[in-house]
Amino acid sequence: MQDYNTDHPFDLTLSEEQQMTWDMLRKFAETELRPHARQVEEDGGPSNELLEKIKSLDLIPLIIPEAYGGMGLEQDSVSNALALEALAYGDLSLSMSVSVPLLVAQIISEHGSEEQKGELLPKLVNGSIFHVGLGINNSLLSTDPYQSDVTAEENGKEIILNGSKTGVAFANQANTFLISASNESDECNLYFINKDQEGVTLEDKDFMGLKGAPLSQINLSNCKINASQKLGGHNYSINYEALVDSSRIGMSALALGVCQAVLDYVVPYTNERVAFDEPISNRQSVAFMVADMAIETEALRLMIYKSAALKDLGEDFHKQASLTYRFAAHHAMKIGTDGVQLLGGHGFTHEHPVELWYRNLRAIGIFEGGAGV
Amino acid sequence: MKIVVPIKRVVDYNVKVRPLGDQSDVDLNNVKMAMNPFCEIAIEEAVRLKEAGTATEVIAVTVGKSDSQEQLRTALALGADRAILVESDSLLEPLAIAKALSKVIEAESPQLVILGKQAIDGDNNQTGQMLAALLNYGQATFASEISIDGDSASVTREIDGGLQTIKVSLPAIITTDLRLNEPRYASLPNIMKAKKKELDVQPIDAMGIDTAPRMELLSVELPAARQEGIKVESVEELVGKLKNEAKVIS
Repeated sequence: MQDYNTDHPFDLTLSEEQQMTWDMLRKFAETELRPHARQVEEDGGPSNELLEKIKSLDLIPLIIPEAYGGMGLEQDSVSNALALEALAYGDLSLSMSVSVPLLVAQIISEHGSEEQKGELLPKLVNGSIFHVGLGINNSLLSTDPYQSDVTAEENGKEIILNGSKTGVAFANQANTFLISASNESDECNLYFINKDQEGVTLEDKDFMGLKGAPLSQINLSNCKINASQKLGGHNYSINYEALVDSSRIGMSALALGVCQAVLDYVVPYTNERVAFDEPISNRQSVAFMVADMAIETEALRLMIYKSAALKDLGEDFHKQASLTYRFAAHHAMKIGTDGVQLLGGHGFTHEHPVELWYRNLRAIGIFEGGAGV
Repeated sequence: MKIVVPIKRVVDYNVKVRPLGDQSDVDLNNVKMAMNPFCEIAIEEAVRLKEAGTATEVIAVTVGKSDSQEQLRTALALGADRAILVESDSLLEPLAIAKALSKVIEAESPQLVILGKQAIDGDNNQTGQMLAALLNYGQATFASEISIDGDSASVTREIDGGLQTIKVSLPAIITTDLRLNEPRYASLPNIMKAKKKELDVQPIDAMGIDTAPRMELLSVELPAARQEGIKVESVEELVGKLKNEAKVIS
């Protein structure tokens, strides 16, 4: 049964603020992020100077409630997705250096206990805390995304955590981690852990992509935390499915930004590159590939903004978010590999950014959310 | 000190423009518009003067159609305090724009007017100079450095083959060159705040000025396509071609 609810058509017209934010972030992505993408990959993260520039956009204080020193302007999901798409157009790793702290700030603002908010939010506003290692991914990357393979034994005042989280971005630069774990009744919640807590070890992992957003594995072995370190307090339970679904919309929006970058790169290339006395775009095999890329990018865009719009309307967006993420995972990889293919030998070299985009897009199919909003 | 910054809505610098089918003008249908880059530099300079405590108020002004409000909002997000749109339904020439701006400036009586040296659409490079003449203000064009000292400004100008520093009495018109500063990105909170700032719309017809065009646009054409380059086999062949075909050396 088709379930499109005509009472809730979604409107893609951007508000004035959304348009201005989009214009500003896209320009920022093109002029400040993309030129540094190679260097950031080599260095394993942005330089302090670049990070300061990213921080000066004040994306994080914007959404933190006024009571904790922020501006209290809660961003809707559509605005969030737009911001992530715009930033990822520059570089996926660098956009994650914003999207992860942003998601953490949103999670704490929405779900944190008064104590947790009072402790962390002012520091997120003034920038004294930037990176918090957010572990929503599982160490076995093919497991149920709505469960965690870290276990939480909740015994009154104490919680014991066991298991591993992999692909935790910027964990090596964070002192605090926010990790998902499943308790005895299979409920999944988030828990704050300090880096120097007993039973916590960090393993740096080298991945094929996202090298500018260093990913670590966090191992927890009989890590004992206080019940107050559970997100929202010891009696709180988070709607984990909605969190993962929101994160999937964000991850898809990041993928979309990179797909658009690939498309905008191959169109002029195939029109200008001459082989057999004519532009290669005159060849059907090339033209069809570019056309598919354009169709898939546009379809992904519509799916993302429909998911985000449903969420903003307070509707059930679980199915739409799942479809969107599946589509993103499949087609983003294809667009990445087609991008390399269309550039031929050039696509395989470091001279062009397409191989970097391809390697980064490959991650979209592997990671279940976690890095987006 | 009050600073007025006139700005202009133009085609985004990334867009490759094309003529309309009948070559009557540039095709502006579905083309991305943005603030003229030199105007961004002018806004940035005014905002820096305000941040340094030299200026107290920055007012962004534009003369154009209703949709120019988008660029005024951008100026507000970048730090201007309020904005004025002189609304006109037709595209105006620099003289008409300068006349409208002079009316606004007479009403606001700022100590300084900073604007871009030219807009990237028509590349006229006239409005600032005409404005100075109409208001009988001093002018310092192509500024790459500005410092305010009491009731005068010392302005370093980029001229052929070097730099020239001049002193102008305030109020004055300063036009910005590319190297004056590097404009900031509006922070997100400032974008959100921009909507709450005052944006006054004044119809140009109420100003009692003659805005009739002095020029007629005959046609707009793309530059001739450049011929593909060739590879030569040797230096001798290259020199031969430069001498006999290109005739650039003898």
